[in-house]
Amino acid sequence: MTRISMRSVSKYFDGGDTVANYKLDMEVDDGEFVVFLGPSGCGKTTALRMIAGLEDPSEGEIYFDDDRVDGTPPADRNVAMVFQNYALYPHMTVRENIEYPLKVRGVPPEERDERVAQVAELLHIEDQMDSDPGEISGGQRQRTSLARAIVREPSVFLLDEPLSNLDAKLRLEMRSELKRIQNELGITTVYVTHNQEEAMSMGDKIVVLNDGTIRQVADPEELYERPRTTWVAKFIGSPPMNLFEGENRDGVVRLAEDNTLPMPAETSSQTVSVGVRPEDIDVSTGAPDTDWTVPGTVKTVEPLGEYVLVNVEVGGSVVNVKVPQTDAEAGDRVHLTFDPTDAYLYDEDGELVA
Amino acid sequence: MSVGSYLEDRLDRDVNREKLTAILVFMLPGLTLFAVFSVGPMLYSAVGSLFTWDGFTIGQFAGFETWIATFQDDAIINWDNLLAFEYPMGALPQNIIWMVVHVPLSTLLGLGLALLFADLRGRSILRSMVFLAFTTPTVVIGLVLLFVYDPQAGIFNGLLRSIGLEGLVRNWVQEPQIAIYALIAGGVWVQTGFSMLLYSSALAGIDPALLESARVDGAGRFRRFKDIIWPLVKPVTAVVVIMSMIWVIRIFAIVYAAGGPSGGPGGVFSVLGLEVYQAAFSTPIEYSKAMVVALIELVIALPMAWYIASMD
Repeated sequence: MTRISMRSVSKYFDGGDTVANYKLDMEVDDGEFVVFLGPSGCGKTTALRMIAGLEDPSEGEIYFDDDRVDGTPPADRNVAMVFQNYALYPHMTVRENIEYPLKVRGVPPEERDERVAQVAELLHIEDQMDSDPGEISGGQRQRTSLARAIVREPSVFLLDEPLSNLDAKLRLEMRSELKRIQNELGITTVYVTHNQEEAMSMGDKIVVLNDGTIRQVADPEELYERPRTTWVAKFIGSPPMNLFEGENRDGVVRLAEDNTLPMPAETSSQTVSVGVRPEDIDVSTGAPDTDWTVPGTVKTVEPLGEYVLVNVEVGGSVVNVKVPQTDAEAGDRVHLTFDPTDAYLYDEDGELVA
Repeated sequence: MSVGSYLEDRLDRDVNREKLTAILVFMLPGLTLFAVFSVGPMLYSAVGSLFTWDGFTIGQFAGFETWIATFQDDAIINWDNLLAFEYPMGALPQNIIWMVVHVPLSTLLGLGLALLFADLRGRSILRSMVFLAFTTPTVVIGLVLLFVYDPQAGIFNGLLRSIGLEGLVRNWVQEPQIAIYALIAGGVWVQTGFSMLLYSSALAGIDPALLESARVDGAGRFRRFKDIIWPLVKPVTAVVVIMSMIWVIRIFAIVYAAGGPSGGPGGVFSVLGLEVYQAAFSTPIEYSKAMVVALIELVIALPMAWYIASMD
């Protein structure tokens, strides 16, 4: 069992012209399931590859427990990795693929057979063992790749967007499957994805990355409830949080077109943003009896079954609202209201005030 | 069975008669050329080898007389020298020795260079330099070899001198027991470029994630080569090996340029192609012998060509 620590880890490419990661500081506790979440190109895969040992950090240190591992080859770290395209050896059968890491490490044949049979059972691929990777379905390939990773009981389990090549239904299925296996085996796991739904549903802890740096480290609830910066607020949620930008004057927030909102909290910052999640806003056609409201014009109404997504134009920008049902139609003048406890206040640097 | 009904049999139900006619019509030009320039001469030689010839005029039926005579000809197979493993052994064994030495060397060198150049800066320049030999006319290669091995001006002997091995300086192409290997070295130089190019593209086609996965699985450099790279480039190896074998069995210009029509002193590096040329174009003209030797070459090359053509 292993705890991973990254201390001020940076990675530069092209002689420093490209910064893939800058001063990453984070810990993955023993047995924890940590997700690196970020848009494509944010450096999450590079960070994972540095933990795997496929890349060496340009600066900083990586520790597995108390052993410094940066500079040691992947083979000596006892990590297992699942690649986005599965990276199954095409000239080997499913069994040979799963067996390969054991064979390389000189595990005797009887023990190999036993362990391969065990993981095959765990992942329900017993019937495909003698097929070639080219003959089995995407989901089965994914399982084979997982089986190959866990068969040698690694101390760290690394997954690089493992579900992105699967169709939506399989993805859901594999998501819970992965979570089950990780729970069962209790292996320290780092999972890279750009899909926040995956991140929220699987991660014990989520590391949000952008432009190569860590934006926030939090558990899924906290990430949703208290996004620390406007960037994270705009990244998490579907659709993400609405931000009303304005001036902090006379104890109120002055928005565009003479609209005002009360200040949700105290700040000395001149420019502020008030954030509200789409699901916390109500749409009403009549004049509301609260100060926590802004008027707007309905642009589109998207009935999505589960809820109705209303896009309202307020002061030149679009606000997304999720309501269970609505009578509003495109072109209507409406009032958006929300509870003060659902409002977030960000200062001029985009940092959360309250 | 006629060609038409044979094809009909092979293609049967899915292809209707109209389609078959169209296919045959479109194949006609190609088939005609193939018949005139490939099948025709083969049959002509096969039949011609059974007759006596006066110059290029056909004479009487002689059965397998020429075949038997050819296999007893010292220029083709010198049985005594062959058993003693001493050159000249005759064109056929020498050609086979050429193959046995040349093919593995050029294949492995090509693979080695392809691996070496794979992640190197300036690899395209290096590859072009190695491949240049393959694009050079083989006659020129033969002439270059003469220069390389020249006792006074040659770079090879110069190299020996510079590392203090003056005792070894000699005209390598005139040494009966060594000359053939000196020429094989030239052939390897040519073919290495070809095999390197094929291997380079095969290596580029390997998903880098496979090698990374193997690294994470714990495989070192050698195991990654043995377990991943080598099996994945196997189809290319088959092509490279067989193409080299066919190239060697047809070899002519290098040998001719380096040693003239006799194939070096006493024919120590004569090959089958040279014997065909000599039999057909130098007096006395032995046209049927030329046909026999050409057919021997064909018999060796045909199965290999067949294998390549039937590869997936």
